[in-house]
Amino acid sequence: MYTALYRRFRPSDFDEVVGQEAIVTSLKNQIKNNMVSHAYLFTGSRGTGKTSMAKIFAKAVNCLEPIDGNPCNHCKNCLAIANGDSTDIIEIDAASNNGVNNIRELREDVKYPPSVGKYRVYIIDEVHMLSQGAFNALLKTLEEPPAYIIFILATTDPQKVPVTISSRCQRYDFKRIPANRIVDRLMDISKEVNITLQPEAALLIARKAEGALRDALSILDECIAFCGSTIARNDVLEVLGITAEDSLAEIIKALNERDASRCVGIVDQEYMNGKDPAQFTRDLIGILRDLLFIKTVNGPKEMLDLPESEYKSLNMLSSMMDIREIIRIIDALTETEHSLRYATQPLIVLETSLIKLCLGAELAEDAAPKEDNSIIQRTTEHALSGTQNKDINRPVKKDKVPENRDKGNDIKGQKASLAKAEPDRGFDKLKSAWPNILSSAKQKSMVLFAYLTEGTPVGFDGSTLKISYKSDGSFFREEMEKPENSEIVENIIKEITGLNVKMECIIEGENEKEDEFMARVFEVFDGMDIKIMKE
Amino acid sequence: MGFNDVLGADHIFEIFKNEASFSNVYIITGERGAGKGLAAREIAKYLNCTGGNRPCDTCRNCKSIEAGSFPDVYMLTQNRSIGVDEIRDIIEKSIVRPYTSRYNVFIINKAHTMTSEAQNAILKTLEECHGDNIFLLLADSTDALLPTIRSRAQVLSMRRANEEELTDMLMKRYNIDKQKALFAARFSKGVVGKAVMLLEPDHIEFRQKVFDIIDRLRNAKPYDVFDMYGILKPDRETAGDMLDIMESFYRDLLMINHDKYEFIINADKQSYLLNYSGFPDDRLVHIIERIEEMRRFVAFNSNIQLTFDVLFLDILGV
Repeated sequence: MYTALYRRFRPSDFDEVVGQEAIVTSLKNQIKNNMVSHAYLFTGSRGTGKTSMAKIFAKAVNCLEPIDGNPCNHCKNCLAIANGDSTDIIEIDAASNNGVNNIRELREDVKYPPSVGKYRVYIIDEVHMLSQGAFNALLKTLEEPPAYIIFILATTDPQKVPVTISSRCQRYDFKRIPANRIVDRLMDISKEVNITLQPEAALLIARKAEGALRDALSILDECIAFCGSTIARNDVLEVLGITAEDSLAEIIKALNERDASRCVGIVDQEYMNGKDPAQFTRDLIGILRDLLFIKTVNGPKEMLDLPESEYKSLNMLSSMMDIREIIRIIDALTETEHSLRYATQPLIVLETSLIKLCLGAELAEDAAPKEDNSIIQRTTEHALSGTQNKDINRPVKKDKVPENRDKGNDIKGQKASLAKAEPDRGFDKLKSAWPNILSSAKQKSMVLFAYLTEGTPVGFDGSTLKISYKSDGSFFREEMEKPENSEIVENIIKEITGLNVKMECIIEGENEKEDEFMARVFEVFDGMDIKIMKE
Repeated sequence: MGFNDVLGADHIFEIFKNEASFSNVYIITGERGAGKGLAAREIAKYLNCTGGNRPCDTCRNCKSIEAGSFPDVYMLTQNRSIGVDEIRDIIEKSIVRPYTSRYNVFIINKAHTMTSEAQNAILKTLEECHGDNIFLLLADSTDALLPTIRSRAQVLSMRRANEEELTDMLMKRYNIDKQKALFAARFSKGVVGKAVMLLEPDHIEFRQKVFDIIDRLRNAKPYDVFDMYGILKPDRETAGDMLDIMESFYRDLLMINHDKYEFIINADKQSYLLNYSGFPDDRLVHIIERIEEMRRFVAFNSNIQLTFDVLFLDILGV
């Protein structure tokens, strides 16, 4: 029977753990100086060595003759633990034993001292899945366990661990493992299992593993299962369903040139080759991110972990593109990736979003008018045919006011010019007299003055004075419009300026909206008799 | 059934043929209808078969696996999402050694519907299971699985069946003429389950009705729209199919705008599609996006009739 590589090559002492030197040093020193704490919390993303480290630590504290803090792996305690025979190491899967009852059992258990070794070590893995009650039930035991007990909690999700738990533990954050360290480890292991792994292939695996050694080894396992004893970069691409860089680069070029046909052609080709659209989108985002790095970061080469040839071709590609364009594409694709999760026909979603990207700016400007013309055309035809008039008063979308906006402006313009013609002089007179009007209103009634100061006179057509209020001033408007108030003001105006004036109060901006709306109404119901009735 | 009857899985079977190379935990991915379940069952048979040419389909083990009554093959299939209780059940069973054969095979159908508690609960079991346990998690894609699961398993993906193979198989199994089989093979893009579904008379009729609706939408007045829902009255289940067909139609128009005739999905309607001109790209993109949005609405329990009314109005450009 074959054992997965990540199990077969699980580190057996501290020195074999890759990429966590700081944690290894402090744990070793604790063991050497006999300063072992009673509770530890190991956190970090998957495959960084939390459980492995916990197991090594458990061995080391019970080892009969530790070497420099490392477990010897020869003494009977080490062997018993390695074989899983020891009763002193208890590994608990907190995700499937997450209730408060499981923790109560554990608390009962804690009373008994170790049978062989020096310590009883509880490794509570996936501890973030414990229920609220279970966490709380653990608190007191975790704080003051018997001297022979050590707890090691391990989790990928430290936010879910209550602070009352983490404050009782020594916390160690496991870092993601750098790609070059993963490459080294992969090369070592492949040598040991007699596999020829090409360095570029190892690099690709390491990149795809995202800092998790276990992911890297799982991928290596998959590659071995498919390709046998020699693994090249192309094999890894094939196994992982990653789209090869050249067709990704080809798509990006096509996007840059707004060539929708070519984009669609490439995507469909890749789909027929068995690529998953979601994976394809992620690959595309990945390469765009690399491009963005090349364009913006100092010394991108070291940060990208790319083989020389590919770096060169990306560098070429990046010189052709604009940063904003790259960001635009990344934004759009990120959204696509999200909607792909719900899609039942992912290919169509991806194609559509690529075509949309190619349409680019045109879409925003052109789409609306075209759409709108068609309705108006249709509805006019319809109106002329004179059947079922009722159907037409459906709501019209606001944001799609098309070219006839100009016509709307025309109408407004006409109105304005009509109003402006002769009464300009009267308005100037009113305006200059406004402070006087205000002060005499103040003498008559303080409340009235308050209502009046909120508004500003905005127009006068010879008989009607328009006073405009801000949109939040509808209260003042209403008060001002009451006959008993407006009459007083009208009288004051007559006294001061000698003009016979009717007051009309409006809310700022309301009229324009109305005009615009009316313009649309006239447009849509073109040729029909329209009566306007106000409430 | 045997290995040869499952299309697009040869590379997967190859792994299991070599005793020294297969490991314990696999995620098998593929679209709906790609044949993941069939492949998994064949693997289970192969591993436990006592006959000569494995899987022989004639020995007792094969037969009882086929019938779902073999004690060492545990198949978890349920329509609602998979919760932590089902997983605990599996964990318990995984501790017991196989009764009659060499391997305990656990097949988890629709593994992507496992709740996050369920996925967390099975982590440790996947990582440290006994050598005679084989876990096969079948999922539409790995996206819905926790990265911590993905990292403990090997991912195998089903391949699309090749056109000739699929045509042959459809002809043989369903006794139909070559022309029909060829269309189904093309339309399904090599997804076997889809091809089979396409040949069902019910589906053919359904699809034709959807096309009728699309056709009526072409010259409809806005108020006509409200009658259209009544033509099919899709429920929550069929609403998705209907949206799929509509989406594929407008997508084909998009392809025609870009002269990509070879990628047309509704190949049998090509002449009709070619006559259906006058939709610019941006309108089509808008329509397809709206259809995707409607799909989400339907999933979130919106009123289906309203959803479709709105969609039809939108397609009209109102």
